[in-house]
Formats: sequence, structure tokens, C-alpha cells
Amino acid sequence: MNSDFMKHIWYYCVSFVVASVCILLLFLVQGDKNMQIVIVLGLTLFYITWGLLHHAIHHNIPLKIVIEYVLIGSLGFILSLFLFNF
Amino acid sequence: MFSFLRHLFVPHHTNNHRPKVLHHQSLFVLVIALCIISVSSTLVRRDYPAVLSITADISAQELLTLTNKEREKEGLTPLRLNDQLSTAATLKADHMFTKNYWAHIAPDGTTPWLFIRNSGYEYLYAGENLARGFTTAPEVVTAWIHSPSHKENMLSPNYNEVGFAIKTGELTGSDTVLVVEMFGTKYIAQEQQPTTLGQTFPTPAIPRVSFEASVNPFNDEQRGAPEIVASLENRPLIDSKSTTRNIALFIFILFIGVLIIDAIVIGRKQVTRIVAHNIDHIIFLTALLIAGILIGKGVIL
Repeated sequence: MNSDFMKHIWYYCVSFVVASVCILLLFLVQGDKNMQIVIVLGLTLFYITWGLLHHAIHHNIPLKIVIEYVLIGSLGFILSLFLFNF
Repeated sequence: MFSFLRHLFVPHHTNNHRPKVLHHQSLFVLVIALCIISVSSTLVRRDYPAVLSITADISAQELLTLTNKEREKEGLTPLRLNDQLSTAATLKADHMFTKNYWAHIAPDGTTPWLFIRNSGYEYLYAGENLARGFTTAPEVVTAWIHSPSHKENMLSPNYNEVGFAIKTGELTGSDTVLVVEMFGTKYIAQEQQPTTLGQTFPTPAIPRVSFEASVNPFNDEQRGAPEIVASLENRPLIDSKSTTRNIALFIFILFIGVLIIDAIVIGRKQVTRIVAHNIDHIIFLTALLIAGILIGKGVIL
């Protein structure tokens, strides 16, 4: 687990930084729900793209993995619509 | 029961070493179910607001009382509720809903002072506080008092009157409760000869606007008899805001927890699986959860 985590640390760091920037942006545009949806959608697309790129470089990329990222991304996006009261 | 919960939430040979809730079929069913809930709740909110809508209990009287309590602490005279300022606040709220903006100055350049003038209030000093997304008066006043610029308006000795508007509607893409607070002091020509008019709201460096040169934003219907909303008490059977928020919070926390358990258990057992990186999922879902917790409440301007 630890060696596997360290092997991918830079990917996770980039994800963490992008996620943190998105939280900051969401905070800055609070009150503008349309802009918040755009930012959440942007984060979701980044998460799917970055995850698949990560897999493609280090492993293979079967359809099962693609579906998993798309489903978790969709779940996160829809839950955000609920959480932010869009 | 225990084995069922383990099957759902913990990697085990019964679920092919992946919690059942993380299986594609489960995720797909959940996403579809949430889509259906989202669409149906929008329809119910539109057609049956008594059943499902935003719960709000805000009155002008309570806002006034709480504002004056804060002024009393500072040894200031209490503000009086003024109908003309309440009319101005209502006109501002209507303008914001009609033009769909969230700002002190409208996209077409209309300032709050125009609404005050059009309500018939000749001011010596005027100011404006805005709030949206709050459901009780104490929440609104607390948010304002914790913001230095809004607090300055509330505790300014320059004002002796105030007006409020509390309205619900769709603003910049979401149903919300909007509160407009207009402060003022009447200009009395015989007693006071001001060289400049004071106009403040919690944003720095406002441009001076010539009212005569401004475009009148009101249509004839609005100009005729604006509705003064002194209070808003909306108690539907189900509060849409807190219900959807709590559902989302529960599912977010559940999935983040299951992903963490999955990563730990599989890491210990050294089971080989073809799955995506759990840490990617955890970072993504946690970021959305933190953002939702931090900014899901009301905002002031």
C-alpha cells in the first residue's frame, strides 16, 4: 500500500492541488450558482481525465476502469447539485 | 444483518473483494435514482410548494429588533422602520429577481440609491446590506455583524431609519430567500444643508451616480403599487434545502468511508484487483464535500 501510494504520489499531489484550487474558486464565486456548476463540472472532467491518464501511463486502461471513473464522477457531480442546492 | 452490511461496505470474498456499493451496477442505480429524485423534486417544488420548498422564517420586525440590539450594545440610538425604505428594498429585490443579478449595482448600472429616490425618500445618508440563502433572521444579522463593512452600516450613527424586504424566488440559477436592508436618514432642507450626500454599501469605492441621468428601471405596474414584504414565513411539509443537503452529505460521507475501508483492507490483504485508484476517488469526493460544507450556507453582500 505505502510503496504503491509513493509510486503515484505526484499524481495525487496534482489532484490535491487542483481540488484545492476548485474549493477556493467555489468559495470566491459563492452566490453565483451558474459559475459554481461550471467549476464543479470542470473538477469532475479533470478528475475523470486525470484518472484515466494516470491509469493509461502506469497500467492498462480496460473499459471497466473507464466506467468506474465516469460513474464516480457522475455521482460526485449529481451529489454536488444536491449539496450546493442548485 | 452483519454479513449483509459487510457485503455492502467491506471487501470480502462474497462481493468479489470489492464492497457491493462500489460495484458498477450499484453506482449506476444510485446515479439514476439521484437523477430521478432531482427531477421529481424540481417538479414537486414547482407544483406543490406547500409540500416541498425552502423553509424560511424571517420578519422585518425581528430583523429590526436584532439590528437595534446590536446598536444598543454600542450606545447608539435605535433605528425606526420606514415604509418608504421598505418600498425601496422591495423594488431592489424585485429588480434583482427580474434582472437576475446578485450585486449592489445592477448590470445596467442601476444603483440602490435610485430605488430609494423612487420610493419618495429624500435621503441625507443611505446604505444597503444584502443577504441570500439564510432561513432565519438571527442567521442574517449574525452574518452581517461578522462582516466589518456590513457591521459598519448596521452600527453607523449616520442612520436613523431602516427598511427591509424579504422575498423568495430564483436568483442566478437557484431558489433562494433574498433579504434587502436599506438604511437612511431623511434630508430635511430647513434643518440641514449637506454639501454631499452620503451613500454607502459594503463595497469600497462606489461611483457617484447622477439620479437624473439614470434610466428608470421600473415598469408602470411596479411603480404603481409595490408590495411591501414585511415578513416571510414559509413552512412546507418538507424543507427542500436541508433535505437534499442532508441526503448528499450522507452519501458523500458513506462513499468516502467505504473507499477508505476498501483501500485499507485490500492493502493489508494484498488482493490483486482491476479497479481504479481509490485515492483519486477519495480526493475528488472529499473536495466536493468540503466545498459543500464551507459554502452551502447563505451569503451576504
